[in-house]
Amino acid sequence: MLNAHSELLDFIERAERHPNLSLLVNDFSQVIDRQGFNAFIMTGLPSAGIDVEPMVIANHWPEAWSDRYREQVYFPDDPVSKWSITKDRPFHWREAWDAFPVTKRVQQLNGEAAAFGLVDGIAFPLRTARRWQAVVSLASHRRMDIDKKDEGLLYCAAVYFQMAANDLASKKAPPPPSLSDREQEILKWAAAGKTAWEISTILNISESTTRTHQRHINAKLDTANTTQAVMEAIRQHIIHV
Amino acid sequence: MQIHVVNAANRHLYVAELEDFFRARHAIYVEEKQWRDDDGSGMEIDQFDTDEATYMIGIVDDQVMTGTRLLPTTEPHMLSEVFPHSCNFTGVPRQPDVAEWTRGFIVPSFREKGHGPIKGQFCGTVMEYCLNEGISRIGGIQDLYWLPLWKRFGWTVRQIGNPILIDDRWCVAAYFDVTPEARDRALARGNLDHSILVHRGPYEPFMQQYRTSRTGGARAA
Repeated sequence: MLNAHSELLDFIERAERHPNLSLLVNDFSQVIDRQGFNAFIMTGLPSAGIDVEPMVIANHWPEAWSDRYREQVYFPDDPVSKWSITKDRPFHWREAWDAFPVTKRVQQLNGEAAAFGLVDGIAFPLRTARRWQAVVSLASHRRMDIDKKDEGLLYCAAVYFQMAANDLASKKAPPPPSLSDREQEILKWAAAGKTAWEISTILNISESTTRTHQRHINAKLDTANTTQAVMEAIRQHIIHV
Repeated sequence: MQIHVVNAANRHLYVAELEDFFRARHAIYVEEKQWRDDDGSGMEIDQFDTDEATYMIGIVDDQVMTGTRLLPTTEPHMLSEVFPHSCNFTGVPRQPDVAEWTRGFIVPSFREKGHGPIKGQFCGTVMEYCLNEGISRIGGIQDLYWLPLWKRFGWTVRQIGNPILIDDRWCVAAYFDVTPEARDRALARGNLDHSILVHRGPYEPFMQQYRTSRTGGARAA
């Protein structure tokens, strides 16, 4: 890990200045790559039984591995994710592996991970401002012996990365789409269980006009049908029922 | 909460509060965090609790809720005496207008989740005191995971050394710029639009260059 110090410190300096998430993520990815880590993930950690997928902020695992991990629902069995939820200090993956019984499934998970080039790694559990638990986990394709000094700076870099990424991720959320008064009216009736024909009768417009409105609503909300549009509009507080 | 400034000049007015303050520190730093061995006194007092120390004690209904300690960096302080190796970028700062900020706490019964209003009120008021006293930077050794809090306040954080491991915890020496913006942003996080800083009794400035000769017998312990 030559020049780890100045590289990581420079990253810490500029982390907050990236204008968007993908530039920040690329920067972090390059910086840690030069420290010997070829892949990483930054994700919020769900409580038991909740899907981790929507909480992922930056996923730089090999894509095929992410798919496999999702398909196999490895998250609840993964010793590294289990430790990330409870620990408040950095740990090497090996520590987590040693902390749990080596079941067949864990063997399978670790064997497959290694085949995808995730042989060794280090995890930095972090508590975000809203106090949900998150983790930045770095992977290497070979066994790593990390100098303690470098570990501290990697931790710092992970903390700053996480802070900046959260800021950018929360800024990224676009303002809710604006629906016209008529569109909102139609959605409210749809939410009350009315069909297009019923809505057209209630509002004294043609059924085809109603359907046109509903198409526009779906386009604005990026939804496939009226039922989904109703759910989405409620979630985004566009309509209240 | 009102936050009282207590130093060598007025500590005779705060005998009971200071005792509660040191007991709270014992409960947190000796019993809970186990940073120091228990000497059986029930109070956590170290070699830096001298006449040079200034305490800020947050009090609600006669109860100590928060507290902290500020030390002049021109005097022996934690970074100079215990952790000088944590300042490997800049060396240990030693300037009259730079204060070391240590032993900041909220007593467990008042603790809040995340970056809640008590932290904002307290940290903003520390900034307010420092501005009043002409201090330009405050900081010290701290757990690395605190860094996001300062960022949340919009403070300028200057890390002055590599992170070091202290009893298996990653810590880092860092200083923050004292500015009206830093004060206001933290106070706003604490939902405060007015000052809760209280000064009672004889006044002694933080910076030694402005101090008159010490009044004898002012120190209680």
